[in-house]
Amino acid sequence: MDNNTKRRLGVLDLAIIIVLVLCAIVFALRFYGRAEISGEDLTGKYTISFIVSDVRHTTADAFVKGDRVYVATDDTCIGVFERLDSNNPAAYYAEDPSAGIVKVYYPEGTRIDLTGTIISEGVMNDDGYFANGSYFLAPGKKISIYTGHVFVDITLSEITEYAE
Amino acid sequence: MAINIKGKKKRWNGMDLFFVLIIAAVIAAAVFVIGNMNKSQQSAKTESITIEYTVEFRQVNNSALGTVKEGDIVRDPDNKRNIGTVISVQSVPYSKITYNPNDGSVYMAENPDVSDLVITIRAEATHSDSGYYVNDARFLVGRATNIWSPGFAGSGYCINIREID
Repeated sequence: MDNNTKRRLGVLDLAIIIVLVLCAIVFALRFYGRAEISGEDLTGKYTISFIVSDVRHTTADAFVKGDRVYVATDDTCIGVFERLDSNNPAAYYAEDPSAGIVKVYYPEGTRIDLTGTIISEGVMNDDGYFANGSYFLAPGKKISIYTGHVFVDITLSEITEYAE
Repeated sequence: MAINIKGKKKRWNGMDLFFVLIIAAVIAAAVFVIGNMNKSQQSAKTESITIEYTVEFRQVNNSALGTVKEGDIVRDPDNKRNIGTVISVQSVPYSKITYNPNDGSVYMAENPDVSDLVITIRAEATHSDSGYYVNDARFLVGRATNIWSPGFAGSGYCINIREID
């Protein structure tokens, strides 16, 4: 650059400034969720327990250990499927003229309830658990998930620190 | 930047270096953001495999049974592409859980007018973290599945997928 001439703002300078501003906006949007997380963060592996209610009995066979688990609505990976913990006949609530609502169970080989475990990496702090540091999950939350083999609706039941 | 202006060779200075660093940072940021945006695409699809997937159609009117046969080509209603060939058709009476208040038992009561139609289809597929793909149609156990065949159209759920060696 010529030190004797006053440099004027050129088209290239303007383009770089615009790119810089866009870059800053993208970063701000990308990390906004994380910036809101406050308190003491405990980053690490967590065990997410879940319930699958009232599915066909063959569905249990489609859970494969090691499959990545994605949220169906936005394709966020929340962890890796670890195991099924229980496989029982699905509950059915029938009306009984004398006893009111009674809980009975589907016959074997029809509908089942499952419980299982996902291993997830994320952050636990005062605000709750965030898979990958940004995706909020909590017991009671209902989400549709898929792996490479199965698509189901689950209800989260517990999130605890992973123990080997 | 090595540019000749009026015969003078321009030399690198701090501002040029600053711009280069900014451009490198922008490229790095773009790669990072695009990489995260692509997280949904999961792992790349692999080589072609043969699968047999089974779709269950609930409460099909009995008059529609027999309209789909072994050997029928089935298509995806969305993209009209071939999604396999029917290799097995079964039907079982539709049944519903019923409670007997007299003894507290439950049983599956059959409805004689409608049936559950179970169709198994063989197809060439690819597999990725997001499921099996046959001509861009996605299959997962538990996922809703629509099919067309020459004599039948229905919406059911995939209940089983088996890879054939």
